[in-house]
Amino acid sequence: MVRHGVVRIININAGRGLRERLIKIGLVEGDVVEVIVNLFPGPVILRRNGMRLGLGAGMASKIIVQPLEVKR
Amino acid sequence: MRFSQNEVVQNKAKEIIVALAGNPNVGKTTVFNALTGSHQHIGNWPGVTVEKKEGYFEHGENTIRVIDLPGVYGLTAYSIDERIARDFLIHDHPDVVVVIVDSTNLERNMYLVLELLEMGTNVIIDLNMIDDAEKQGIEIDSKGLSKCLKVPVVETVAIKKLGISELKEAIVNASRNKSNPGVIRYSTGFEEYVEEIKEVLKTYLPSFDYPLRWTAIKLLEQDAEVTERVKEKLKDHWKELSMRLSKAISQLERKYNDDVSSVIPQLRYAVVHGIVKEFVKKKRTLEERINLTDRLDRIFTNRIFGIPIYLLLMWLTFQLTFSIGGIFADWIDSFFGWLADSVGGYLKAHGVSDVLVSLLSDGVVGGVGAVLVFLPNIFLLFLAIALLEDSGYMARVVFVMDRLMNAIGLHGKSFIPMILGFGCNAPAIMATRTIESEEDRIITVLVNPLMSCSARLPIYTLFVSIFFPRNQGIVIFSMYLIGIVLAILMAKLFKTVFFKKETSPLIMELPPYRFPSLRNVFGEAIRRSMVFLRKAGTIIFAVVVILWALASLPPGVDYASENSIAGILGKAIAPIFKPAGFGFWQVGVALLFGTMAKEVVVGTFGTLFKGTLTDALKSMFTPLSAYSFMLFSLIYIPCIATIAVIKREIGWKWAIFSLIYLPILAYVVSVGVYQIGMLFSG
Repeated sequence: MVRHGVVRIININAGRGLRERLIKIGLVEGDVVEVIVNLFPGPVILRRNGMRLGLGAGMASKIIVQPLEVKR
Repeated sequence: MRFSQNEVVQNKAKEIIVALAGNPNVGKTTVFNALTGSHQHIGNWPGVTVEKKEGYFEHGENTIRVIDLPGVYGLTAYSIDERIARDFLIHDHPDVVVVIVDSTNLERNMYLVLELLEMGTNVIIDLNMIDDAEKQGIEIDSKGLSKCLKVPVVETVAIKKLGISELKEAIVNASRNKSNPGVIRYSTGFEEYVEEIKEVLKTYLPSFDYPLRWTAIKLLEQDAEVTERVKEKLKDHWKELSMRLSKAISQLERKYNDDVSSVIPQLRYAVVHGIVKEFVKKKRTLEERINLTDRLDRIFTNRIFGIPIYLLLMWLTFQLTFSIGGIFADWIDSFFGWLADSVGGYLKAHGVSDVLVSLLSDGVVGGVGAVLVFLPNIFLLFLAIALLEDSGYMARVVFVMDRLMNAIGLHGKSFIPMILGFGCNAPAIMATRTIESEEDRIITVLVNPLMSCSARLPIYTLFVSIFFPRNQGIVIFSMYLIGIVLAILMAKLFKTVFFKKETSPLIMELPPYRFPSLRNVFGEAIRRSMVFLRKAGTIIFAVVVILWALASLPPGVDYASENSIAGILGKAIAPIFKPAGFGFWQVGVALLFGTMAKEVVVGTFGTLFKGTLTDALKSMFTPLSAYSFMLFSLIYIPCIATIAVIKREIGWKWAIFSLIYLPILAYVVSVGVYQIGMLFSG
């Protein structure tokens, strides 16, 4: 996930338990999220509806996205 | 109104047990405080509450016992705090569960509501922060929601105490007539398997503690605990169920092309989306607060400036603590000086025995007073920590520190206990309960005593005011930094020596920034300062009296001389500290009694040196040995309260380990600093 702006989550390459947790917190393939802060290869902050989610570096690198609208 | 004896007895039996559940940081504790009039600690970051808290309120003739639970996203537990909440909700069968929901994010919050409804819990939905939702243009049809789910829905703004009496009313009503929510149906492709498992359960397990439908879904979800319980109950029939289960699971996984543990949450979310679509309307607005939060996040978590901003904030904290705290501290100091003299003089003039006069003026006023002088500094420090917690910045520090913490094999969440440790190590160690990996948690607990808690502040302040008058802020700042650096080094060492597993991933919800509520922040700072005052009045007082006695005995000896018991005791220890630059018996005594509470180190000096504290310290220490002593007091041992918490949280073995590694580390560091410093100063 190497960008800012609005993206669609294509794939979550995480193990079973991790993917389950992300889904429970409300993040799943197909979701459209806004990347607020991206410290690639470090952590990222995402926004989805009213939720703001911080993901650590390891987690962020496992999420593959497709840009919908790139800012800056 | 009068009650007959009988009625009173009956009414007493009518205690209603209410649990407060909800996602992290939705304001559960704020609702709890509003309901019960308690003052439990609240903050604007997820994970403030890590244990069950209980309170009461009366409503009409009912006594309602309220249990505040740590935040959870669902009924699956990944960490200790989540397990506490899950266990209570599943095993303790509260009469009513109020699910507190963040109205600005109904979607995510409804997931837990659904799970609880499935379990047959008597649920009330509390749409909290409803004012924020309105501000963001979110309209929730709470009547429609209530009708659809067949459970009471209440709107509150707990922080302003709005809607609380309605919530109380709803709790009492719900305890009388349990709601009877409709069954939540998922897609038919899944329902057939639920029905199948439910039928098997019905045959072999006609009476179970939980609704069979919920049990069936949990079994399909492969919930370890539910599976274990059903297995126990079914005994011989488990084999059949287990076969049907694995068949169902493999068919489900093929059908949805996904792990079953991911399929079921997605099915639940599908239902949630439907509900949200029907009852939540979102008007287009500017969403100003969100934009502000975005902008602030880009500054505070900036790639380059994130860490410097954090350090700057910390530095500012200590500067303020000193410059402002120092003014008040001087006043208090002169007050105690005056008090010691006038009490002594007055008592002597009235023929009170010299022994008692000495106890009061040397021991109590000198010792306890020496510690109390630092109340303003400590208050300001707590104020700063409360500001960090209330503004929303706390959760960002996790994020900023994630990369650094990754380098040592932990993740950013381990940094929260480190910051809380600046206040007090004991609650900071409890805050590690939110860390999912047990290994990471143990490491985070072990290094926490290296965080300079507020009890070390009196030691630092006393020494810098004497030996580094021009650079007080910087020198103390260096103590905090060295503490952090040592913690990071030790964590890295422990991770490589004891544990080798990979880092667990960081997932953390970040709350929006908000302007700190002055009432919260001051209330919190005052409450924590009161704890310090109570400590001064109890443990510090007691230790000081004992010390005074040891310094006065055996009879006939000069007060606080080398030949007193305290002197003999100190002389036995002191030579060890010679290489570190402070091999004096008074220092030995101070460090020995400092294990009770670190403030006692200062209290001991106050008792032993009476009114000549500054001069006495000046004659013993040089700036170099003072610095080495400050380092030693930072590291050498956790106070008794902290040791007790370490033992409770991670066991005796690790508590003893920390009693071994910390003194060794302290000795190495302070001797190292002193000896190297001596080389340079010639």
